[in-house]
Amino acid sequence: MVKKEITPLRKICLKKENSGRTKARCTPLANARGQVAIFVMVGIVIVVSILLFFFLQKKIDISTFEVENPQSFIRSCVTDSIEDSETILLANGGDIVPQHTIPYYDEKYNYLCYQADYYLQCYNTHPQLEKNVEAQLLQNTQEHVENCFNLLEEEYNSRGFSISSGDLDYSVDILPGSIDVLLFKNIVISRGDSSEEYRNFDFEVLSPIYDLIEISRLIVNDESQFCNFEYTGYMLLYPQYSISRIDFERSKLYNVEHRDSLKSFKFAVRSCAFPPGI
Amino acid sequence: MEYNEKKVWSYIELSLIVISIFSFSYFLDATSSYFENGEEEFETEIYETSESNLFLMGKNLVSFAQKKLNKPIFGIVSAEEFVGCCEESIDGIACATTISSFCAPDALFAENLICTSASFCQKGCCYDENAGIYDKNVLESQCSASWDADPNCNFPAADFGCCVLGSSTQFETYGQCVIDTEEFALGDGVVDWQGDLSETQCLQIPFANEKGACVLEGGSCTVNTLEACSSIGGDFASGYLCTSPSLDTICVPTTETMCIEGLYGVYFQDSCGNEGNIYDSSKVNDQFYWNEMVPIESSCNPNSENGNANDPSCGNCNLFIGGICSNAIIDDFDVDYGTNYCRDVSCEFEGEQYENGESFCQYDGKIGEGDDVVGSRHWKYVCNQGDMQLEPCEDYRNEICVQQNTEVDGEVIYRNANCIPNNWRACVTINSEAESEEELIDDCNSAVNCEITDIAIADHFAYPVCTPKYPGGFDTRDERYQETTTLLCGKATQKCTVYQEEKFFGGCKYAANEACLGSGFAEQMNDFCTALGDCGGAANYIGDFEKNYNVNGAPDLSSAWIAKLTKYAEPIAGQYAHVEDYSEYLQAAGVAPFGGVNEHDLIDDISTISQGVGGIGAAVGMAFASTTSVTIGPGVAAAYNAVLGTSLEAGTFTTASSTAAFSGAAIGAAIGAYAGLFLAEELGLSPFGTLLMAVGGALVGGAIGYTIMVTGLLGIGPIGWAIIIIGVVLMIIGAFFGGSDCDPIDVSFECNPWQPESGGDKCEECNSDPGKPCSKYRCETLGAGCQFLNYDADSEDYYICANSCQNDPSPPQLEPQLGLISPGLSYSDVTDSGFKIVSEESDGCVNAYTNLQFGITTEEPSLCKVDVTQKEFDEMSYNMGGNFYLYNHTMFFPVPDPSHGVSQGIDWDGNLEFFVKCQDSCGHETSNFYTVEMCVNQGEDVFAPSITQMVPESGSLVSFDLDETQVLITTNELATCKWDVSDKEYSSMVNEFVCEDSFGLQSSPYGYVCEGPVPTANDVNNFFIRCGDQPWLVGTSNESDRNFMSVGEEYILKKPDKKITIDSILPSADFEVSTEITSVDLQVQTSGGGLYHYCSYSFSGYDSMIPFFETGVETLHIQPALNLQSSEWTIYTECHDELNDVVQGETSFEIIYDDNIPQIARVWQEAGEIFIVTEEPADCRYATTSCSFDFENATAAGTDLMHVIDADLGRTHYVRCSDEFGNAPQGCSVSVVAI
Repeated sequence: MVKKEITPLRKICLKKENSGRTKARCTPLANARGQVAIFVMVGIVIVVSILLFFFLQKKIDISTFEVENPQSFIRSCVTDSIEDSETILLANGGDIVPQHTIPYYDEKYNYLCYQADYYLQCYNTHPQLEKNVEAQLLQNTQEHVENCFNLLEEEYNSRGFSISSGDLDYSVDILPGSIDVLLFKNIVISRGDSSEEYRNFDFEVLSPIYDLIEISRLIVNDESQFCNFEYTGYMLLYPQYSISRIDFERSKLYNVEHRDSLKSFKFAVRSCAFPPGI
Repeated sequence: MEYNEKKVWSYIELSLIVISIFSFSYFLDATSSYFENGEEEFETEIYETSESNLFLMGKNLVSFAQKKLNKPIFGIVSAEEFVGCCEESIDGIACATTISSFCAPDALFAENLICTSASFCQKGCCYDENAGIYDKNVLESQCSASWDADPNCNFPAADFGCCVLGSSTQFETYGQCVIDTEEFALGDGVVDWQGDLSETQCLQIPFANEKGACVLEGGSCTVNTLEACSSIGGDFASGYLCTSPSLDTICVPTTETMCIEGLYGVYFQDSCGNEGNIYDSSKVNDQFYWNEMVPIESSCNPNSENGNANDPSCGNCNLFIGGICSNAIIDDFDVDYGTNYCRDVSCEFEGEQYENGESFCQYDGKIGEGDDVVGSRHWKYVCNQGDMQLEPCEDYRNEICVQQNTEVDGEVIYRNANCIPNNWRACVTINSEAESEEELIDDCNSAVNCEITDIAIADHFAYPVCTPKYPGGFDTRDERYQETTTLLCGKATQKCTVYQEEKFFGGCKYAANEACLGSGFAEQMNDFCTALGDCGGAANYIGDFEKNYNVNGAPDLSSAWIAKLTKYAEPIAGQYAHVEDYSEYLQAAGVAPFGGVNEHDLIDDISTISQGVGGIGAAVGMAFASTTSVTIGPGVAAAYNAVLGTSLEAGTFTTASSTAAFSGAAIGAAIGAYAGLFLAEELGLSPFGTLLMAVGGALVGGAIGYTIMVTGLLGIGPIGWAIIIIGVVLMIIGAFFGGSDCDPIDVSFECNPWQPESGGDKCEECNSDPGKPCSKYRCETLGAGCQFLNYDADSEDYYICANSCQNDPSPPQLEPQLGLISPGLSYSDVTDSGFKIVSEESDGCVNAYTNLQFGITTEEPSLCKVDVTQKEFDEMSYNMGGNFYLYNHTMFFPVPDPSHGVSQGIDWDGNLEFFVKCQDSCGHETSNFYTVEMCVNQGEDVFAPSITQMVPESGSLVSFDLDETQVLITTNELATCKWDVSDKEYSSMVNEFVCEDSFGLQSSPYGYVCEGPVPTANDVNNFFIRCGDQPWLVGTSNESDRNFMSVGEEYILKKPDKKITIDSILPSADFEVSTEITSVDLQVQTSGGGLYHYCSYSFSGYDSMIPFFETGVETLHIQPALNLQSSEWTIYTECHDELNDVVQGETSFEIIYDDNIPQIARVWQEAGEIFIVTEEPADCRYATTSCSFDFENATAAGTDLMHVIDADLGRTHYVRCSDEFGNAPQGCSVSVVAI
């Protein structure tokens, strides 16, 4: 496990971080003890001079003082993309662009198990679904993640920092309860003589997708072998999930919902279909 | 019911599907041999002229598979296209039966092969051993991981067990547990996976584990298990809460509450976010309640009847009887403290309460006894945590909803329902497979969802049939199912012949089947008809009755009866389908075997043709019937004998003075009696009239004879004159006792596929009940003009049943179906009102006995009817192309011979005219008749009959065991046929076939049928067959007008070289496996016999056989992937060929479950090597890091009994050994320090 590095930017007096998760306190300037008024005056003059200097130079960038921690920035930026992709993957039965679907109302249910002929059990068309989802999640967010780093670079450049970076090593790992986002990129932010280096941008996004995929695997395995999945009993054992099944056009449309997050994994199965006659 | 118990449903479904599959396969054989047998019995027993309208269909077994394949998912197949298994269709569908042009360009295509037999469509297990993920039934081409040919992944590593992950558990594979343990970084990475625990037991572990406060540095605290606490270096205080003052933590009580995943109750939450005890508003400030953990049973209201649902003060929820922790803010529920409460998870439906998880069935009307109404569906409802969740069972009643109630003291306390496959197809098939009434009844009673329906209408029209309890529904708008639907409903198209005999003094009386003339005929036949599926007179689910049957010769259904049928659309309170005994199916199917369709037998195209013949053949026959001459029946013949006997007796008692006189009187009496009989016959007198006429004639003749012999013609004395006068008077009186035409009366019932009323006025009914969503099936049963729309742009609604008639004001337009007409004929004089069919020969008239086929096309789907006279549409007798709304309406019939018609007393000059009317789905009917005219060549019949079909075909193989073979000969015209072993004149042939067809009523689509046995004891048996036409001329003065075949048709039947034999059955010996359940391929190799061998198997004996999955094509018969428990097994197999020779065999073996890990027998070090001996051959590998090394990448030490390691002195060598089944310890087999 790569440990998170201490961010040097925290040492710069900032008002607060925008991540919403942590807040750093500003260290106040030196106390004016009030003994010598001249010191006060001198101080005022100095401050005013400095402000005038920046004002006249027109290079004072207030926002510099509001720049995020790079890791928070990346986390926030990438999380949006991950969650967007997760939403698509959940709705599409594990595919960003499903190839074989059955429309139902205004949705399309992706077939995870399909048998074209009647009476026969289905073929599991999405084996190793978790890996497939990981791969698609990675593929679908890759560009956005790179853009996040580009944005970070632009952000820092615009604030007078110089930034150099290495290659991005990006992967995702779907785990029980979360999606681990593994980001490795060597970034050096510098201004003047000082510089800071960042390598590890890992974080996790809370998500039930792993568990939903596992349930879907159970369903597909049972459907492909027994033409049925006894979801009522499953829900009794695992009340945190709600499973609904709709028989539609000789297919079964499954909707596996994680009750706490209200996220649903939707897919279709066509197994042991009977013809409307003989 | 536990989850595992519920899983039994899966097996039940499986079994049902297996049965359904095989039922379906053999459906084609459903020529209803049983029905026919029943009638044959009657025929031989009583009379000789009963007819069956169930045609004997050819059993060309080779073509069955192809015929099945001719119904791929892609619809109509052109004749030029090959059908087979496609690896991937152009739509991206893997392994589909399709036509070659639908196959993707680079995909493999196996012509005439079903996908289950195609190697490229073999299913297997796709697995990642390291990840512990095993996916069943995957194509190798779609597996990116490892692949094994066992489709059910019967590997030890695929078994699920209980993975303990700190304070939680997962029921998963060992491989998954390893990953999860690593991911959660629990403890020291030791995997705690318990393979002997069930899923339910696994879920209980978190409850059983001792929990307590885990105090960390700085006074922080978590509630955890001892193991989890140890892993984070805390001090564990068992049974204590973090808020206990004695622990001196920073955590303090709050009024907040929380839900905990995996638990049902509401818990207090301390200031550190840890769980407290069960929420109890009365103890929010009770420090003692925040000190130690209080068991659930000692918390508030532990015995609440509703699990404390909706209780604002107590959070002791019990999911199974009422409540589960839920957010009160989201649910807008006022709670005393905190934000959570026990949400009520029970459900209410139509005023009744249901507990969480409880399920029940709902129906659209009466169910069972074959009374399910058209368009109805079975519905399952599940109470899912307060929400009543609807699960519609599969439409077309392909699934039924069964329910099981748990009762205590007569009170229902729990209901459990499930949608399971409807076994209706098997019920129909049983009728054709049973060889006796007893077998039929036994088989039917032992089949689930089937029941015996006793057709008991008349004394000789009574037989049992096996019908579905819950008949299936049909999609009659899909052309793929129209033929089969017609055939299936046609099972109930039956004719009852009511036989009559003359009364002694004239008039007729019923001799048999009189009850067929009563109202019971239509009632019972319609019940039979509707029990087969969506057929006959039945109501749809909104109670609209439609008559889709015809009854002739008996009263129609009464209005009261129809009202009863209509009432079936009303659900019966409390009725539900019961769970039947599936044990036999489970046993027969093994634990969980699943094959698939035994795709050999399918619907024979003859069925369609036969319907056409049945229709138009009967039409022509009916036209002829009114003028057909009387056939003297056996009853009349008996009367003749009686009369002759009487007349002879009369002669015996004549007295005379001399032998000559007596001789003269006797001769005269005989002549007179014969003359009287002749006269009586000519006059058509009754038996009594005939008797008087014969006696009178005898008296007259006797008197004259006596006189001639004694006195000459001039010597008639007074006595003589008196006798003569008496005789004459008797004859005159006898002439007044006229006879009666006591012909048999045909009473018939025609069962047609159900069609709704025309129009679309009631389509909206389908959309009116949001609790029962509309579907294509339900929509289309509300009106022929109803159309199911997936999306209606106008209303922006999905799945709407819409009236398609609103923009259709016109009736259909008719025109000839160009391109479809018999060879040598053409359409002529085509106008808007009809056309003529003309021959390309000079006079344009069609030859008699031509198998005429022609058609009419409508520009919109229409129902077309045809008749030989002009009638109202509803009264027209025959559907053209079936009882369906079609574009193309085809007609097929053999052209009758007008000369024979005339000879048979029919007033027909050879001009034939049909009147056609069509009605579109909206009820618009063609205003005028569309006429089809033709003329048929007339003249003296100078052509001999020809044989159109021989079954079996000449050159065929016949049964090895039997020395006699039943042969069926079909001729183009009514004929009698004979056979002999050499070719000779017809009159010289001595062996006659039985020819029972009558003029105008041929019983085969190929013509008139004669049949009889021929001896086939030799290896090769040669015969010659000749036939003669016009059998009605036999015994008449015009018999010489008959035409006989001048050359005999050679007919050869051969025996196979040897009888069908089972050469081998596999498995044949015991074998070891590594799992408790293993997939076994049952294989039988046959030889000899006929060309096509069919095998079936059973676990219980030869009474209940299940066809092999792959059989009938090759001589190797395979039943793949039988899921068998480790045990001793005996499997019975039976094979037969198309010659009906049967052979049986069985195999016994034991499946031995080997779950023992390889044991280390000996270890020693010698020089720089460590030697390890295992008790069984094993693959041993080692590492020097730890016991939890990656086996695949570890260093190999050998795969036999002896294993050698290059010793690294001073280091520990961790060794793990795995046997051939993958049995290996979770850690090390042995660890050895090299010294």
